Amino acid sequence: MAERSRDTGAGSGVGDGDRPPDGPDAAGVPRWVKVFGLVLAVLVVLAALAMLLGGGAHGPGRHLSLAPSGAVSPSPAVAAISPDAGVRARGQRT
Amino acid sequence: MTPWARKFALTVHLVFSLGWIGAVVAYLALGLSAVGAGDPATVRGCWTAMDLLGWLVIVPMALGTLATGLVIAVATPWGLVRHYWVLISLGLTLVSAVVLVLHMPSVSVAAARAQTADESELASLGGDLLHPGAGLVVLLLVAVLNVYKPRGMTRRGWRLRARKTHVISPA
Repeated sequence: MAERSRDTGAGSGVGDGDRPPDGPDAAGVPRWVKVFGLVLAVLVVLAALAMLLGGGAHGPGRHLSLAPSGAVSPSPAVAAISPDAGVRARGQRT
Repeated sequence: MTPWARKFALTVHLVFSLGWIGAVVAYLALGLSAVGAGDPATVRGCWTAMDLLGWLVIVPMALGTLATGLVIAVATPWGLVRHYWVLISLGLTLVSAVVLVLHMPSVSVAAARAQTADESELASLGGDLLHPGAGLVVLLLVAVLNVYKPRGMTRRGWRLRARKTHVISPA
């Protein structure tokens, strides 16, 4: 019984194992996707508002003001382990 | 893809994705320690560790998760855009990886700053809890989707299934 329901996914509402269920899916966008999309939209709007009200600067450079001279350098720990220039470039800005 | 290859790909994907989640939890522990520690040496150590953990573990795990997830989706009957749970998982994983890579330079800046900052400046650095905290929630959501695989096919999935089984697809 478990094997059969796993193969067809019948009645479970979920897919199982390595392949999609064989039974027919309901037409249209499932309710869980609509709910998920709605929640995501609300969160994106809230995040955008938070960024706008928080001063607008939101990116890798927002901590640059903490650096004494405005120049950015990678932490000594990462630079010591990975002397490759690409690693140093991660924390640098021209 | 043969069943053996599929299982191998799934194993690698699980290692990367669960490793990503575990590394983020460890990162959060370091961030909390940075916030709660009164000793400047501890705070500096935490930021150094966060920087190392981020670049050397979390970023590779994230990129590995993305790559192996794409391989599994494309090479198995699930496909990349046929089922909503796959599409949403891919989108969330991609966004998480992009945000991570864009965020890490600011962690490096803060970690470098922590080495020379005095106590008041160290306190102002905080613990970088927001991004990894939100990222952890997203990763757990993706994990739930990947285990439960809720049903629902996209329009493309319907068209592909109809083409395959010669059944009229719903409007």
